[in-house]
Amino acid sequence: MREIARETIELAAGGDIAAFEDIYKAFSSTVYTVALGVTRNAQDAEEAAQDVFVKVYRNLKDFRFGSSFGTWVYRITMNTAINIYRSKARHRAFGMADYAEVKDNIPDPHDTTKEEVERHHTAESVDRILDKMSPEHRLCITLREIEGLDYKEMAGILRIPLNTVRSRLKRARAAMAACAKEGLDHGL
Amino acid sequence: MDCKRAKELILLDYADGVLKGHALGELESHLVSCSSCRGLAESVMSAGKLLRSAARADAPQFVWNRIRSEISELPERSGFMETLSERIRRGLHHLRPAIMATATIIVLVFVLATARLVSYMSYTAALSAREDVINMISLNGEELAGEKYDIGTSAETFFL
Repeated sequence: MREIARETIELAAGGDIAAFEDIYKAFSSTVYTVALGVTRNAQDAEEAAQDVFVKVYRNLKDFRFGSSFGTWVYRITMNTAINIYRSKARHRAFGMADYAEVKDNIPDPHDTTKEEVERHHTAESVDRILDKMSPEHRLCITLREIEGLDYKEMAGILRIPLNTVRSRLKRARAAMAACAKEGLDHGL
Repeated sequence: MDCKRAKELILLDYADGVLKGHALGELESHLVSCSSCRGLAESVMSAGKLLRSAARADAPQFVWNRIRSEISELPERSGFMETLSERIRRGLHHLRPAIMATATIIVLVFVLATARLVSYMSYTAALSAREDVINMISLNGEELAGEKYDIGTSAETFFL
């Protein structure tokens, strides 16, 4: 899990925008990836990322360093993304994810045409799996498989015991496997 | 190994790549003979590999521009420009331990006062009972020896 120097946090808490930009640079990819993993929609993920960093900025002075700063940011991200997903899901008739489109926009100087095609194919396959899962399962899978967090870090973020992390991840992976199998069965 | 145990291992330790030694050997033997568990293992491993290979996404540049614009419009974080509500909120947050301690003391005082009141009421009830006994004896018109109200009976010892 990413961390950041205490003095940077203290400077940002005092209103130093440059220090806050350092925090943003350190965590923006994490926040955006988790938000996208939960909401499956680029606009919602952008909105979530904006909300998360504004909340972080407003509450920096209250951060007591009693827990990991990364865990704190993950928690804000998770709650914000799930809230946005729930509020938007009701009003959205069509169009789940443009996750593949987002992946296509990631600049990679080493891209070749073949690599682009492979990346596009990977993104489409990831889309097909994640889109069929519940947001809670997607969150679990995103934290473990994409963010690479261990069980203890997940327990800290989700505020649940380790055994509960194991049971939730087990259910999420079972759902992931079912979605992956379904995709293969339909020749996708 | 039965399928229930095999599925548990496939979805957790095997998928995490931490299953080693004898347990791994047992599971692999089971996978050779059980097509259902083998199918699950293949799906979990291929989907996990796919997700891990997917690049983490970066937020577009305009997201930072919006955040910067929004936080610039927030009230100053220090000095006289800081809003009163922000100061009160922060002050309350810092005083939270003191507020909790005060609330605890108030509850304790209330409990003690209630206990004291109950004790006082019991005492007055006992006094009242004593007067009732004395009145009852007086009403009988008996002459008491020695102290006026010292009747020296087991009834007095019991009630007073």
